[in-house]
Amino acid sequence: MIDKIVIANRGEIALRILRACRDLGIATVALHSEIDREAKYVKLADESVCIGPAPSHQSYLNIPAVIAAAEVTNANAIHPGYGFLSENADFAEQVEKSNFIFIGPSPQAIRRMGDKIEAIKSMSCGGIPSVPGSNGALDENLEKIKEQARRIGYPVLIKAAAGGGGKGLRLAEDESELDNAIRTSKSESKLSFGNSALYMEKFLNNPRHIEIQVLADKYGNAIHLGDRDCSIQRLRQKLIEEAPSLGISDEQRQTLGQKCTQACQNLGYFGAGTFEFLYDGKEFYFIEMNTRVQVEHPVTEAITGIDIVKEQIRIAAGEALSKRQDEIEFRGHAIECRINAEHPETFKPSPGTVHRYHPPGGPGVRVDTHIYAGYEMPLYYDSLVAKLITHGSDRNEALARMRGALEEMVIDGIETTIPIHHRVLSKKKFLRGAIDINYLERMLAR
Amino acid sequence: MDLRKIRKLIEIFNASKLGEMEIRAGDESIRLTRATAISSPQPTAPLPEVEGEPIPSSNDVQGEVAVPILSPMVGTFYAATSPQDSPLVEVGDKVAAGQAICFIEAMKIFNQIESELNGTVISVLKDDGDPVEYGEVLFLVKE
Repeated sequence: MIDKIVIANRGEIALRILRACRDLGIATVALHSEIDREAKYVKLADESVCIGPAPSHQSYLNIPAVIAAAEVTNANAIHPGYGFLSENADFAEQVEKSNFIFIGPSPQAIRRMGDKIEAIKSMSCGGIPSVPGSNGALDENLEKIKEQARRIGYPVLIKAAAGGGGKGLRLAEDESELDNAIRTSKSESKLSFGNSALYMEKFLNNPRHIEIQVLADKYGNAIHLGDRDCSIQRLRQKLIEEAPSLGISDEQRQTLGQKCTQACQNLGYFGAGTFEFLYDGKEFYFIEMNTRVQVEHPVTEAITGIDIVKEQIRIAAGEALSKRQDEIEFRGHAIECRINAEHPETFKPSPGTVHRYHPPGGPGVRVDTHIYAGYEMPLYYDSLVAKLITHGSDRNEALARMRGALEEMVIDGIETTIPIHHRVLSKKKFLRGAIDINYLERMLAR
Repeated sequence: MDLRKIRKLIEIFNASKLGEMEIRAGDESIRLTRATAISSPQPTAPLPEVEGEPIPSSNDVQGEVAVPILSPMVGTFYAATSPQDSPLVEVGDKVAAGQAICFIEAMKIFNQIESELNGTVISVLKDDGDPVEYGEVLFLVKE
């Protein structure tokens, strides 16, 4: 039984979790840093606790402060949202040791899937192939690595085992670039993650990013909620996501989805999760699993009618999944545009005060945001200011609604990525679905 | 300094017998001055300009600067290590910089909180077992 949840996050996802709690009749405690104290979404919570100064490592990443806040408010569960402590196995473990429910998978599952080499091993056992690569950490011996690279075939990517967000990632077009790629990746990885283990994989030229959303309970039941195409990215940061993916047959979707639910059962995984794949030449290559709620979860909610955050809470409370796989229906098409506080050409963060804010509306339009007129966008955190999601009976209707919604939306005072969305949504190639993970960067380079 | 903190300080000020109170924390400072003498309620009349000039009062701490000691962490406040022990400090006690003045318990660990300055405790704002946030005022100390 969960009756009071500590929301260990900020911004739109904190508000999203708060709304799910409200639906379920669960009391909320909003944690916030000093700079977020006056944010209106904090005031919507039943209680709020200031856990530290603005820099995240002293507040939102401060494990003892988050747990102490749960203690002083007599909450019994902690929702980590995404980012911050959401995929920190040590945090999940300490939450459990302090007798709180962690709303997410077990610490063991987070640890296992958080290590990319381990994750790839676990998946290949379940018959889910990954991008051809070194199958484990790279040897210290450069000659051995060269031999492996020849077997995989150039170009190859050097990646950090503990990596994420593009850090520790280097491309080697041929053998002459390999040594340098390894050395820079190693030092970057050591600096960013305190771990210099690397692995190598084949660089796919222009693949698409397709992912499968899963839900699993603590009784071995697992279902998938279909796929999302998140190919529109810049520097590995997703900007536009849609569901379902274009050009993927129902059979492909069900086969891949079933493999993912099977993997959950093999791993003893529970909670919400996402298996990410690169799709190239009709093949899906597993890249990583996210053991938390994703930013882009609303597109899946739109086409399935399932509230993923509420399901996370139910699963954590020990309830069985509310739906069976054969009860999951996919209806229409949904698109999400991430509105970031960034200059639309330079992508420089644009903190400041939102002078005017007008949200779009109408059928099939959803806005997830924590901003309002007068909101001060701090420089300390992620630049996401709003997620605009439209749903239609088909992709064309969803796109038409998105164009209209982007026109209606007004955010004055800060620069946003709205103009980029307008551009992408007017491109014939995008409209045809001829997209891949490098599409946006090519478009911006022109 | 945010509004909530200012409101809290006004409450503390109103409950005190001080004629004037000045709080400094980092770069921020606030001075509260009583508009009329406490002992003689007066009919509403244009108030004298008081800025910079303390109101005469018999209170001996008038004009002194009170410094708040803020909680460096979120947790549960304890004035002593156990309920049987007497509080580490009480109103009127002299404290030295670095002296232990209370504990804040978080994750079953008692964190000793130390005074940042030499002075006299003029107010203890928390009771044993009270939850405290990061940045909440725990004590007022007169230098």
